[in-house]
Amino acid sequence: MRREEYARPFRLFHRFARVCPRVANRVPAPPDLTRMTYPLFQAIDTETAVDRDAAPRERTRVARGTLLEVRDLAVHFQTSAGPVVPAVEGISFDLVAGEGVGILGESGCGKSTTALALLRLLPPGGRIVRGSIRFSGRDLLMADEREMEKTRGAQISLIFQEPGIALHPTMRVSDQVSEVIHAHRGGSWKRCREEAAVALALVFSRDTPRIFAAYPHELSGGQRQRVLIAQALACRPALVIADEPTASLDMTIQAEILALLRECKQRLGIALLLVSHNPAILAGLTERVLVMYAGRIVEEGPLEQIYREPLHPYTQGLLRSVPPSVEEAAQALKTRLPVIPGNPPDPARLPAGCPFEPRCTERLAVCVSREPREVRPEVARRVRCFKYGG
Amino acid sequence: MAAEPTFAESSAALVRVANLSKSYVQRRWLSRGQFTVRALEAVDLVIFRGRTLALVGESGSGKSTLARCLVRLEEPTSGEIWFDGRNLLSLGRVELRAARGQIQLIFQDPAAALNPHLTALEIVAEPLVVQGRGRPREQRERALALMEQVGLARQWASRSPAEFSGGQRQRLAIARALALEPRLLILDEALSALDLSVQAQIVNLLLELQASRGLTYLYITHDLSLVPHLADEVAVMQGGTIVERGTPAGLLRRPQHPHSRALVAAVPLLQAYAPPQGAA
Repeated sequence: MRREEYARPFRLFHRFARVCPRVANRVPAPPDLTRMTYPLFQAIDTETAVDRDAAPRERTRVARGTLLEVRDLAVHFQTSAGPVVPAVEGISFDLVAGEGVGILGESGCGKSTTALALLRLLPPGGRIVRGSIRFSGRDLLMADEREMEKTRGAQISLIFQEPGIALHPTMRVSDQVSEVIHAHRGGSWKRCREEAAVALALVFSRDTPRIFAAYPHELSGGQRQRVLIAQALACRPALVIADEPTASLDMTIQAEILALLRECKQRLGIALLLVSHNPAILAGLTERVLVMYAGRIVEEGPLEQIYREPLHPYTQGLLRSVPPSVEEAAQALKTRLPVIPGNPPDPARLPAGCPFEPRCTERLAVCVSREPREVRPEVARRVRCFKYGG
Repeated sequence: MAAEPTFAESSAALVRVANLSKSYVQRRWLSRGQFTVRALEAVDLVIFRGRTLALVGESGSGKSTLARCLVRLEEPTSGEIWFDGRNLLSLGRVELRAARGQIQLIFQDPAAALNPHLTALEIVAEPLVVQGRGRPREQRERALALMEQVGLARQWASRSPAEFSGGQRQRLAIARALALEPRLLILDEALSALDLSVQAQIVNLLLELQASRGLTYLYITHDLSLVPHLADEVAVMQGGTIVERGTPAGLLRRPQHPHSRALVAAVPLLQAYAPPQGAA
């Protein structure tokens, strides 16, 4: 059944409700946004200030220190018959409050698994076998499920890849956003709806009352993605994880959504963990990049340095597939594109040496026999490659 | 390059679309009124033999409707489609069946376009079976040869589509499309669901196939970034009409129409975004 048909009885109900006032009373009217007094970002700024007065000690600790500290995290998948698949194998990274960090890599390199593991939302069969995830001072792997529920959506929220699937098809946008606020903050439904309206006004510059009352199927892909962002920001989390947030969108809409994420990050001071296969998407949104391959972080460093001077052959290959400027793109008169040959390896059957060795163009004799260690060729950079003494 | 060749010149053209329109009449459920959606309005297009035309536009601009009209999955409301000197819209059922072998489609999501219950070999051989070409052993040999040509190993023939990666599935879809020796391949967003690195591999494969087989491509996309690598000409669509056409280099350097400018501005580039002003 298509989503449009699925929602039909509900649309009929609301049409009926318009004629029949007694039913209409049960359908809450959206708040009149045109008459709301506070402008968008000011509303948020003042609110944070109030929070800071209420709990000054906690706020400052979160703001100054490391927000997220992942150490030696490993995720294995147990398939029904086959072998154990090590999807993520011992990754470590830090994330400072307000910072943007990008995870770059091809499909099947463990990027999305890492993102889901941070929230302990792994699909069936997936297990975190070792490591620690410390979020603002406490270990998320030690937390019980109730504590996790309080963390997800409130302190760490996730923006999914497919806005069409992530939204409930038969609930109005207003209710879906209000629900998030209600679940985490409680309070009266009316109050939650008002906050939801503020959250939506954050991401939509016009047409907000219509979108507030709409069902997901009445919105375009870009609008749905904006609703998801509003949901993710509704409780003012400290960290937002966005897993390919623009994968299913048109290029022009993609640029708009990225600009919106950038604005939210800068103005609300939210830390962002952005997962993508496209280096161009990370540019402008993140200050640091983690390059993942076969479940390992093969290179890490400040975005500008990595993009100007990538060290790992894999990173070099990824960056070659994006044109640096329009002028250079225009010069490609039906010429072949530079490629990384082959496919990412099956994590269940990794080669004995460096996992990238079979596809590498600069392999050395030692690459076949053992895996390179992590080395730090410069301050704030690390790389796993024998070329740099790994 | 002439954008509008006359009929006399059209021997160089494989496909000629003239004044093509398609509109859908829709009715709201339980309401009396009806309204018309004009998906295509008087579209003129020429695709030259052995060349690639890129059709660029946002979703809802009518690109896919045009593709579906070309293979007559949709009946156009008015206009003409000439394919290799024949009017596709006047063909009867038997002729149309034969003509469809000449035009093949490749879709965006290879996972949805491949039957999960068939093996890779059966998928590639299926068009041959449907069109009744050759004996089973010949069909099998041909399918295996096609798989090798698109870069899939022979020993993978008995795998199911789920056992392939996204890029390999798209290769499989290309092998199936090539089975009937088509003259025109319509790539309907065929690259947009793939990773950048895989996109590059598929673009190179398509370029090789075009050089070796003289294929003609209609490349439909919303992403301009691969257009210069793949296409000889570009047409930009918006709201069911073609608003600009030219060469890829010309369009990227000097887009004329506002919509083209928006598309060029949205091309993901490494330098497009200024580096953020320090960490917060």
